[in-house]
Amino acid sequence: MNMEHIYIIQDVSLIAQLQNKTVVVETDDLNKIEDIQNAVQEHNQLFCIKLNVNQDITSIVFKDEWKNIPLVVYPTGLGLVRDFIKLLPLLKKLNVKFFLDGASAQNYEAVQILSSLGIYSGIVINENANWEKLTDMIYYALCNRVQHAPVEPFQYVYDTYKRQTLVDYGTVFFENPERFEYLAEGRRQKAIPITLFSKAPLVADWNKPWQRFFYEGTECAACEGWRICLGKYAAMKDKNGCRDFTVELLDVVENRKFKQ
Amino acid sequence: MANILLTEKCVRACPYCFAKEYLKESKENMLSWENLIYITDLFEAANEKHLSLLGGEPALHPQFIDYVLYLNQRNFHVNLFTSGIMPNKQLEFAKEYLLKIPVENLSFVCNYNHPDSSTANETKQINRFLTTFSKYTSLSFNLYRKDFDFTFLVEAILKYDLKKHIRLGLAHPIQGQKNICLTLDEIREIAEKIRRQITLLEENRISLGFDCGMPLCIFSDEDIGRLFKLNRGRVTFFCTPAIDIGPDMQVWACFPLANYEKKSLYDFDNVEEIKKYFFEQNNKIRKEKKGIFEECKTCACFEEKLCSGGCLAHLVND
Repeated sequence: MNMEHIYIIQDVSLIAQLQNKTVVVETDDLNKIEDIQNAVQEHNQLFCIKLNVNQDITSIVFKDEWKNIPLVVYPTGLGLVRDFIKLLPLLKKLNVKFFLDGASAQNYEAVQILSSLGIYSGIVINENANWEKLTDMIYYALCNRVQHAPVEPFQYVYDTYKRQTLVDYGTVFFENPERFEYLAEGRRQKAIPITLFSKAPLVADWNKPWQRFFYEGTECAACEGWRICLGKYAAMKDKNGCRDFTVELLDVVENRKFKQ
Repeated sequence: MANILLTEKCVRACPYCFAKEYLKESKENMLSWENLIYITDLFEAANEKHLSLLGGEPALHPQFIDYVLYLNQRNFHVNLFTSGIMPNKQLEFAKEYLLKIPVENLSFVCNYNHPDSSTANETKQINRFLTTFSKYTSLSFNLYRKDFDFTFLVEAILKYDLKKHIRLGLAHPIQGQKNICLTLDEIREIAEKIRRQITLLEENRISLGFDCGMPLCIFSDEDIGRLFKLNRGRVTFFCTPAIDIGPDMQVWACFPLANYEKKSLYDFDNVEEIKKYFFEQNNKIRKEKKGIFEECKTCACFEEKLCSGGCLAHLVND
């Protein structure tokens, strides 16, 4: 699949190296948001600002001026609901998504609260994820009785899933090397999916790191959930959780999309 | 309308409590966020935008304020049944956050016992609650003895400028347990007592709503006419399953029948199914036993569904 190539930079001064590109800027500094937008928009297009903050949503000071800036925020948690509700009118004006770490059990209820109140959100799935809660979340995200804001990566899988093709939901988290390229001072690097951290890879196509699973005949290559997982959790010893989750997700998507 | 139990913990031990059996058996469960959201979605899908929160004492749930605010954001009207007894800190938070909610979207029903049956500290806390949330609050009183008097209720309504309405409940028997409640003969006798209270309510323009299980026939036509006028036409003696949902996601028709038939909320796909199920359960008993009095078997009001013939709890406890 040909997808628009997107550059990810952490140092906004590197923007001068790019012209007419689509760019993600990663930052942990809330005070730089407007400057980043201005710098990128001069000769490029801002895909979003990826904001890594070491604080709860409720302790972030959001500004009305950010309403035209696409933000993907990685906070540590939600904070108190009573404080979040105070923020809600402003958040609804902004173009903001919140991605919370799937290793924290509390974040699953936080994502449900966010989504049910109309805020786009997601669970970052890593090897420490609570697989049982993730599996429950499939049903909340995709089979709910009432309308709510999308929950990633479930929505992405649902929207892009086709029979006979692979779906890399790492795209949602800027981890798909076919889509994202990290640009640092003096070098470029494809987005590194967590797959590659697990074992030194020798891959035929740097864009398709999942191919090594087949060369090596690994357990993941034989898993039914492979088509959406692509070996993301290969380093885990016990793969029951990720297998059950991905198989169930595939099953739900397949049923919702093609059998209803 | 459904009742959601936020917690099974309670600060009181009322002798008549028809929830006692359920609360005694249960552990210290608290309704989780996930379950609250599930319930909210279920009722939103049914376009039912009114939920009652109760307990135990719902204010003992550490997140009761967040739950109320959340439901409100989801455009639900919330009705909270409380004793009014809550820790200072909780009341201060409630004051800070809940007073911002318009009165159309939030109401409290304060279960108000006679001050003589409360400790000085409880009375102080209740009074503080009533002062803070006066415009949101109406009083509820449960009859469990023949000798009662509404004067203390009327005084409280006037003193704290509460909503001019009293919800009058009857303590019902609990299956398999002896709680304090009115016998069938005593139920017949309370009409006379209520009649005398109506005058007091009329003088102060306070309406009187019956909770379920009040039989029509204990009142004269004149009484019913006065109640009709007092309540601006809203007088009902008919009972439908209330739908109570516990923190563990068990569901039952109403508290007095909690031990009679319980199901998991997950057994149902939608609210309509829940209602249908419990309605049919209730109907089975009604068809077989009719109402609580012998006369119910031939009563036109029962046949024409003007009256349910009292609370089913009397029938299943025969």
